[in-house]
Amino acid sequence: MAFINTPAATLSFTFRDDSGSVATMQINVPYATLATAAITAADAIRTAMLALSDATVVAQSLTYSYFDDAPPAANAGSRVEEKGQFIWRTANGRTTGFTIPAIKDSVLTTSGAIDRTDALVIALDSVVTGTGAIFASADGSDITSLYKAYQRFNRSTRNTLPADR
Amino acid sequence: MLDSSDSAAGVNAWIRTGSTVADGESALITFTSAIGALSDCAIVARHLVYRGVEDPRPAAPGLAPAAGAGVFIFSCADVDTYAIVFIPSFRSDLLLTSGPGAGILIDQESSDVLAFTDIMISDIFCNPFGVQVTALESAYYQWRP
Repeated sequence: MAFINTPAATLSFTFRDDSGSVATMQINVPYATLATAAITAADAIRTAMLALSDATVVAQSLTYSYFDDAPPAANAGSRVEEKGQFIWRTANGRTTGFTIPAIKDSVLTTSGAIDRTDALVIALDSVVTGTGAIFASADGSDITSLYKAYQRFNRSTRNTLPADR
Repeated sequence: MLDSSDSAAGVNAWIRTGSTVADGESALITFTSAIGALSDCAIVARHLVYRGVEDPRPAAPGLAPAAGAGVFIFSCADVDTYAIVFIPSFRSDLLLTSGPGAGILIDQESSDVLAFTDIMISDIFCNPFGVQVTALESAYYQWRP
């Protein structure tokens, strides 16, 4: 298995019209384009597009994508609704978090907390908060330490129910 | 991430503003490895996204609906390769007003249209397969609800 980048990165623009309806469109740039160059190009083409449109652009994004060309099978019995919830402290005194789907049972304690002494959890903590880490919260404040971690169950949706039910 | 029933879910994490693609990719690789080890799912894709929003959000300058789009079909550097770009809320005054394409075809001689197509062709833009945009082939109005 190996993650392969797509041939092109994607610039996505969200337009909002007078009624509040939104539409999103995409333009591509070569994958090897530096982010700064791509954003400069995005600014130029956004201005040109705005001259052709009665809507306004309210958001834009630049996405570099990678896909596994031969992904391994998921472990039997795994369910994305069973989450590992990780909540982190940030430098500005707030918290941020993410969930890991189908958290392994082997990293849980009997109470449903995530075992912070587990080597895999320590490794994640190191990736997110260790020297040179660049992870932050949505407001841009650096993540500084793990605050809470526990098992959580999300409600199933139509898309997550078994196909053979 | 896919579980054993092929249900999909993802993990969203943020990185420091202004991080380079190289730093972002490096963080993405180590993060993927760390969360993959903690999950029974298979990780099938990952994305590095730079996002920006207008603040404050500007008002729309005209009344054209978002579904009314200007569609531009560009040819690319390789034979028989194309890129399609559509612009929502396309200005109706940029459509031809006479001839068989009146009200449908976009006036390719309009200065605003020329400015857009010139940037598309002369800048770094390409199609999803990474082939550079080289020429405008067709431009028309389309309702895209």
